[in-house]
Amino acid sequence: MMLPLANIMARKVRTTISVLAVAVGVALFLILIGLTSMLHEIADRTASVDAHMIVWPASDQVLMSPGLPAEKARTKLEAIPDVERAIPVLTNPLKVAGRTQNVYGIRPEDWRYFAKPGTMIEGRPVESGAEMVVDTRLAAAGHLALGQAVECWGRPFTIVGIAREGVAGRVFMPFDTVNDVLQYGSPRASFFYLRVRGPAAVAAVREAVTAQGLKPISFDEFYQMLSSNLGDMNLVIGAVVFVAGFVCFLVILLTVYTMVIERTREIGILRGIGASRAQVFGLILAEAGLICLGGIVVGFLLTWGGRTMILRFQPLWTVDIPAIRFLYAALLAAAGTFLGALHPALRAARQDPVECLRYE
Amino acid sequence: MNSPVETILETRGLTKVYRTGGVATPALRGVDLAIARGEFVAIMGPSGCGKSTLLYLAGLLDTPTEGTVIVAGTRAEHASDAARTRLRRRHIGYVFQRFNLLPTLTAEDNVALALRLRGLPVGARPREMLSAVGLEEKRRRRPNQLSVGEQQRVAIARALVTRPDLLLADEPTGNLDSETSDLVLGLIERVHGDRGQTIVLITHNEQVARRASRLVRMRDGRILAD
Repeated sequence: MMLPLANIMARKVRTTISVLAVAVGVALFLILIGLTSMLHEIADRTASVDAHMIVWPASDQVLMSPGLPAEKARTKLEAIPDVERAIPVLTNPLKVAGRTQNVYGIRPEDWRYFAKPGTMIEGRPVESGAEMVVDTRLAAAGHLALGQAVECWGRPFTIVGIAREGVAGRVFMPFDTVNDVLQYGSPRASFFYLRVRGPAAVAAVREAVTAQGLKPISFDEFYQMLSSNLGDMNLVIGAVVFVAGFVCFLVILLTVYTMVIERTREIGILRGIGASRAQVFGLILAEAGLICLGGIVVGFLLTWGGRTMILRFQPLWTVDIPAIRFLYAALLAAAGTFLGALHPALRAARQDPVECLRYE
Repeated sequence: MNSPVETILETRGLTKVYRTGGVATPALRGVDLAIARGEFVAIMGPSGCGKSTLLYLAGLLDTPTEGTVIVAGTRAEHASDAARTRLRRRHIGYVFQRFNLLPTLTAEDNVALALRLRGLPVGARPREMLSAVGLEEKRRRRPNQLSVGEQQRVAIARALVTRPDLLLADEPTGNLDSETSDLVLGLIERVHGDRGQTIVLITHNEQVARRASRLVRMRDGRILAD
């Protein structure tokens, strides 16, 4: 390892550029993969509700829909056999502490479906009037504290509780309050969570909901829906990762190729003093391997730095990178390096030592 | 009773023809040469007479077009590259004319490399060899921090550190001024005298050649006089 290390240290600028190229590939791979965890986080938060399905208006444009008449729809849904409870939610985008969030307007008596025991870290659930509960993530990002007044829709709302991160919404308000703010004549719901009597009843309830002209989506389907979004995103990520990997491959190819051309005479000397072809091949691969190793380490540091920066400027984003992804990134970099170094290393090993010694 | 003289290097009818673009250029034309253990042989001739080609073939860095190369009793003309490498490692030490050292390594590491490539323990031997060539103090220096003569002495130390049966030197004084050349030749003579090292030295310089115990003259790919 002495000679490869000495060789790469002798060309500091070139080595640094090559290491950075590998590092950028590694960091891009990890950060992009990490960003996809946002969709999983949304799905997990939705699935944290103690219910079995979501019921939306049948409109194709759910987000633009004015929702459903809350009381009428709830009565009809709860009249379906095996439906235990229909939980209305009125959502509306709202800027809280400089960050736009979907406010969850819920009835105080439905809080237990959104929060397991111990979820409320400080304070209490919303009851009525200008009250709000925020989750720990938003509280930290917006420097919000219990009892603090936050201006929403031009009026002050008091934070009466702080819930542990992982609940369905980041901001909860009383259902009636949100309806009042939005000036709906009679209460409306954006959608319902539906709790049924056991998973076996889900299929029949679905049919009955559909028969009412509504759109039921089980949590499994919701997951699949997000996964298909993830699938589209994966194409983009795949393209970026491919480009990053290809650039890494090209940089290593160019670096090692230049190295071999530059050291043609040295290769002849090495053969002359006893190096076998395999040893010359190994020496060249070892140099590429050291560059790759440096790139992986710097790539991990760039990933850490990039993630820190993202979360600093977008604290509500989720960038979770499981340990196994670091292994995948290292393997990707190693594969790119090996492929990039293979041809020049083979060329070096196959060179005629006499030709090398005559090289000027 | 005389003990039999051991031949360390032998060539029989050694021929090398280089082909470039369909043009055949003979470099060696049937060279027969036998070198006994302990000899100091100078091979002399003008540029292009085939002396370097002979050295490459003898050092198993190249293969002949025709003829036989026998190193320490092993025929090598049809041996695979791996087998020739093994023979070279076991029996041969090389000193080239110029740019002989690996520029990124220190003098000591250059010497140690010859041992490492053979999988041999390094220990204090590189330092001892550098001490033997008078360069122990400069063992941490890189080639660009050494004079050309010092570089050649490091190269000689590297060639000898593996205790080869045969030292092949390709114009080792070709790039040196007369004073440094004298110093390097003195070292080679000392190695021959003290250790009984077999040496084959290529040169085109009459004065250098006269310091060997045997002189082989070449011209046009043939041995002219031995």
